[in-house]
Amino acid sequence: MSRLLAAIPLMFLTGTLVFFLIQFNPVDPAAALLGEDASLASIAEKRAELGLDRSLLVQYGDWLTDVVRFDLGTDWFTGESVLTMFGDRAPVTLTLVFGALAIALVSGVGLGILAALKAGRLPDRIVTVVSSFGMAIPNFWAAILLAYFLSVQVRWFPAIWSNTRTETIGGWLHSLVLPCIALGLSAAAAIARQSRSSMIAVLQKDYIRTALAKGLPVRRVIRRHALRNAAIPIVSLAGFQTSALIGGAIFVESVFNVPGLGSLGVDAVLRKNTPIILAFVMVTTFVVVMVNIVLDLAYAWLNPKVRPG
Amino acid sequence: MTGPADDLVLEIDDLSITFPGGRGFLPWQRLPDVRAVQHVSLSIARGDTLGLVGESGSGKTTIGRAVLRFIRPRSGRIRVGDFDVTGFEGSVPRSFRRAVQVVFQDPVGSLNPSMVVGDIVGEPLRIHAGLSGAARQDRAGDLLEQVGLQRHHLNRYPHEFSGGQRQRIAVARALATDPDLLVLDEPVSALDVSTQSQVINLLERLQRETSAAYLFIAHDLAVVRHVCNRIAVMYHSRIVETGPSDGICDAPAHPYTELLLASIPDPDPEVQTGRSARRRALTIGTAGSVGNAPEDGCPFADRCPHVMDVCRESFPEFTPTLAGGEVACHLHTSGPMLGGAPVGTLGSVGA
Amino acid sequence: MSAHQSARSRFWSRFLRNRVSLVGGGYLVVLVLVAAGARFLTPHDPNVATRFQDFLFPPFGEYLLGTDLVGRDIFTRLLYGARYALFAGAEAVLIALVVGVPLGLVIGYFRGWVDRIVMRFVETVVAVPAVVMAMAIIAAVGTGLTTAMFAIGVVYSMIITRLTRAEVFAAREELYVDGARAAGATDRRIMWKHILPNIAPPLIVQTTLLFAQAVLAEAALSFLGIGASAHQASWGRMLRDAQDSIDQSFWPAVPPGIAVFLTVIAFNVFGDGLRDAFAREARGGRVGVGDVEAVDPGSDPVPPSDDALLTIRNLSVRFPRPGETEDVSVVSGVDLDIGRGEVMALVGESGSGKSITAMSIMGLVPDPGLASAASIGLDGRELVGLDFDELRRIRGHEIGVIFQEPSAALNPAYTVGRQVAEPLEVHLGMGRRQARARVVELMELVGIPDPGRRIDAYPHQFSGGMAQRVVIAMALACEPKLLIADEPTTALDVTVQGQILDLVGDLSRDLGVSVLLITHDLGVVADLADRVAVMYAGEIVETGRLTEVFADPQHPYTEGLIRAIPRNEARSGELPTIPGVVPPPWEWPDHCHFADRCAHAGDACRVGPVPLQTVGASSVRCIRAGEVVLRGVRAHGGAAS
Repeated sequence: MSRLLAAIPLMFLTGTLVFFLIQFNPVDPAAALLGEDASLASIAEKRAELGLDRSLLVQYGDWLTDVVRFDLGTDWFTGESVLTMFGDRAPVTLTLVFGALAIALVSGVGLGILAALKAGRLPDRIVTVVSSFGMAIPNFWAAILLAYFLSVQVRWFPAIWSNTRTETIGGWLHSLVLPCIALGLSAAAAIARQSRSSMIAVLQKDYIRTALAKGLPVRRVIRRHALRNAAIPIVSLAGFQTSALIGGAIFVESVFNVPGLGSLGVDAVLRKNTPIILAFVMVTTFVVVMVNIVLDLAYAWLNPKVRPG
Repeated sequence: MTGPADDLVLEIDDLSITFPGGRGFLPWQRLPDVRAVQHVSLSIARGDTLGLVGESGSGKTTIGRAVLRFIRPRSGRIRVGDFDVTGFEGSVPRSFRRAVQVVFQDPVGSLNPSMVVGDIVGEPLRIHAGLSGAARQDRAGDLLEQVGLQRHHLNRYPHEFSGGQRQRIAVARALATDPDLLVLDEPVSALDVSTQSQVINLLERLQRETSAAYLFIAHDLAVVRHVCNRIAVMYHSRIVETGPSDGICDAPAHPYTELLLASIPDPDPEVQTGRSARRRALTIGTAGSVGNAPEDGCPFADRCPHVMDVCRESFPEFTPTLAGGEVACHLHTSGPMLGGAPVGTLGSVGA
Repeated sequence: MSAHQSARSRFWSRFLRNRVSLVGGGYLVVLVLVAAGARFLTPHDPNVATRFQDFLFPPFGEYLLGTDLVGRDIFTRLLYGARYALFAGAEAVLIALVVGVPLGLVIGYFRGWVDRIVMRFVETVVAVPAVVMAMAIIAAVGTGLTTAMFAIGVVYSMIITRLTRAEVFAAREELYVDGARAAGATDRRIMWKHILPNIAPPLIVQTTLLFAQAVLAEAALSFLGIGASAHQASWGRMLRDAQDSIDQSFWPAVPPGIAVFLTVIAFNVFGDGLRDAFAREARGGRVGVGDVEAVDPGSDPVPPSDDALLTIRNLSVRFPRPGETEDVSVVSGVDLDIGRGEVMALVGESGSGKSITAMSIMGLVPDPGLASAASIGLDGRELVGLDFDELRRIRGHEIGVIFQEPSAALNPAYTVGRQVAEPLEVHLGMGRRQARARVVELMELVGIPDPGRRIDAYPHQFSGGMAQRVVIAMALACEPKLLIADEPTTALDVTVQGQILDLVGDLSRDLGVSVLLITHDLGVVADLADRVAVMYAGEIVETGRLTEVFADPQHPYTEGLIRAIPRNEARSGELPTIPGVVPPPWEWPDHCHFADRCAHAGDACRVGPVPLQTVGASSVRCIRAGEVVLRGVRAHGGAAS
């Protein structure tokens, strides 16, 4: 509840921070927009058109009032509505991010707990080695490898995004399988490590000894008493990983040519397309904050101590 | 046993300490302030030991921290020698840090794990005596020998010592500045019985040698009786009884002091049979000191076998006891018995 | 005194034992050398095409790793790439440390409004995905390797600030900080001399891991084209070029990818090795239980008494000692009988082995301990040799346990009602509703007020005394024959202790359950026990009826304990003490364990093991028993309550 309320000022703070940050760039966007041959007059005209001739505070006020009305402005170069552009591109990026998160959670938690229960033995060593590999592979390189071996060599999955193939839902999802795996790899590795260590820590607790002393079967001790407490730090990590996955999506999209938010963002950074950069920051932050709110609820469910009353 | 007033090393007058309440569920909600210490007055003379006894959460450690000026009280005055502790503005004068030293309960946590013993004991020597190099090592070595350790221990790390030895190191550090007042916060509670008495004997020997005043904070009344000249009993933010050690322990005037004494199990089975019967008779319900202490009224009222209506309305004035101390209990002010007689003589319990 | 090394040399010996981390460290050293000497290791220029303009030349021929799409030597570019990777990583990490550590130290130490403002700012930046934030900063300061890594450094500095602050927050609550402050140390001295050295380990580990992240980030940003420029042979840039020619040849994507991969792994394992070496004790995992192994009875087995509920013969527990081949014995040759309805106290100081003895009865020796016994009989049934599942049916069913720390013994995630109900469901096959009704009865039995409502409360909503009552209810749920109470009142206030002692005493009498009471407090023993067994350094040194042992102890250690305990009596002279301390298990001698602290010990005491000699209902492990006159609880006279 209080997190939800705190999320709104946080969004504005982030937006404000980035708004003023971008002003540091010495390059004049109007000049960049019109190219090297543009006359000073036309540049000035363009500046006025974009509203850049006004004082910074007025620009900021304008931007703020627009944002409150869910108006994210227009692309300086194409004049398209930023909101529409994001609406078109967000679904594929979000599917990619949450698909990767799902893969990472399922495989990471499973492997991590397996490793903890077999601590010091072969399965533990295998998981430890695999997860340290997983954390070290750059996701875009993993993407290149996957694309080469699973699409160029055996043609199981498409290597490059094509608009015709992705018209059906099935084709769309099929095209996202490899990007999701490439993206989820390092998150899965990180979650596996966290699951292992938090499970091991929980198994040392007094209440596990109590549960054993009560004569509960080991499986019940693990399922009922250990798992739920071990999940608490994993939930915290999942929030951090969501943030990392959104960042990672930018690179994976670039390898597979996926028309998501990432390519939009990179392009905007290269061309200093301020409205897009601002929207990019705000939208990604919004997603992270929303995920964290959901995770907070899960956290409170797992840990009665933080529940009110 | 108290000397003339100008010989007092520590004087606490009407001390109250509160802690801000936590955050509520909604961001703007604030829980009420926690009353940790209310209207406490105490004094210790040079060379004397005052025992401050109470259960967890009674506020005894908080008083110790206020004397060390780790926390600022809400109201009241603390004087240590010529220092007006509550009057310090901003940083604390170095000479005050020389005059007051401390030994904590936890012999593991109270020594910096990344420093060798020589640096731990030598730090106050560097700060207050300006010693360095060989002179400092030399003096630190003397101090170690004074507390029953050896000079070659200077180069070891704290984790290489047993609990009792670590507590000796902490005592050596405290002695380094030749303090006037030593705050001992549960100095032997974490130790095994056999080590406990070793450390107590050490502290007593050192007191004879230095005539420092001790504020001995502990939960175990039996230990306190052995160590202290005078005792102050705390319950849930209030001092309820003070007096000479033997007087309080042989003839408690406050029902809580009596319960506390009846709760110390004795190793003599015969003695313990009688004592546990007494304990049962004095125990009302199952409550402990939970929640915030009441602002008015006696905090012990809910657990007191003698409770009267007036006990919930006002906290009693201090009355002199027959044992030579003072008690804050309505039994002795407006109750059937006047004059601070021992509770044991006050007639049947729990009737 | 065992051979002691300084903490620093122990740290390095721990680290050097970790081979994986050593390999990682070795790789990093080589990487630095390669980066420094790239010019001397290759004849080619990283940015100029080879003489014959061999585009996409395959590897292992004329050019060791082939050439890229414009004919540049890949091996050469790889070597120079190490430079960019290390410089980029160093830049980001340095910025992060220079900004983050002092800032975190100061705001963590002084807190207050500066802390609140800085943290609001940090939280704002950290809420944005790191890469996105870095891109926004790059949008402001321009693209290029230096500016990109500056952006990464700024984002990382927020992470370091947050970590440092959290560590300082925890460290400044430590008593040694209070101790330093009482000694007169200034705030600056406390921050730099006391707090920083103690929070350095996590910071060093985090720095190593961030370096790995920075190498990854450099590669990623250069791959997108907003990091290294076309003229900088960074690994990320090489991958970008490889991606452009991927339709013609896959090979150029392999070497730089492996280089990034190996470098990141090297930093990670190096950091992990540091972390493990910093940790004082290596910790095991697994559900810590071991079975009890059967051994021959000792040379002179004591016959079991007829009316005993529990008989233990020759119980020993060993633990493997890290770095040593031989196990160390923490409990040896324990014989113990507990009668029906009897309260038997097992007394000893910390390290005597009393708790482990009790846990072995149920087959709950903490991992990796090894227990062995000739016999453990419970109500005529032999427990030694039972497998885990057979012992499980006895735990919580025929043997109930109460632990020292009630708030830790209960699972914070479940209501107390569900936890008390568990043994009922598992052992007695009760359904939810039936079990719930029984739980309410049990809670009433142990004196929890308003059980119908409190049954749905969570452990943290109970005070220590109330939580201990819950644990007692749980232990008694299946009406066990034996109750093991392991320091049941040590964590409680003294007035609450009395209530719990009364409760345990009443219940054992009313329900006829035998109790094994483990404690260090002779007063608690005198309150509850019928018989007592005194343990010292892994051995039972004396047993007998409570009244006899305490009034007339036969073993000097028992006498020492009795005399050292502070009692509510007027005192005269110094407090009696036992000189010295309990030695660690690996220093226990073969002869009498107590000899070195004993005032009565002679040469005969230091010859060989001393057997436990039984006389009637008592036994004592002392060759001078009967010879020396020892004083009991009434010796110094005059105490009556």
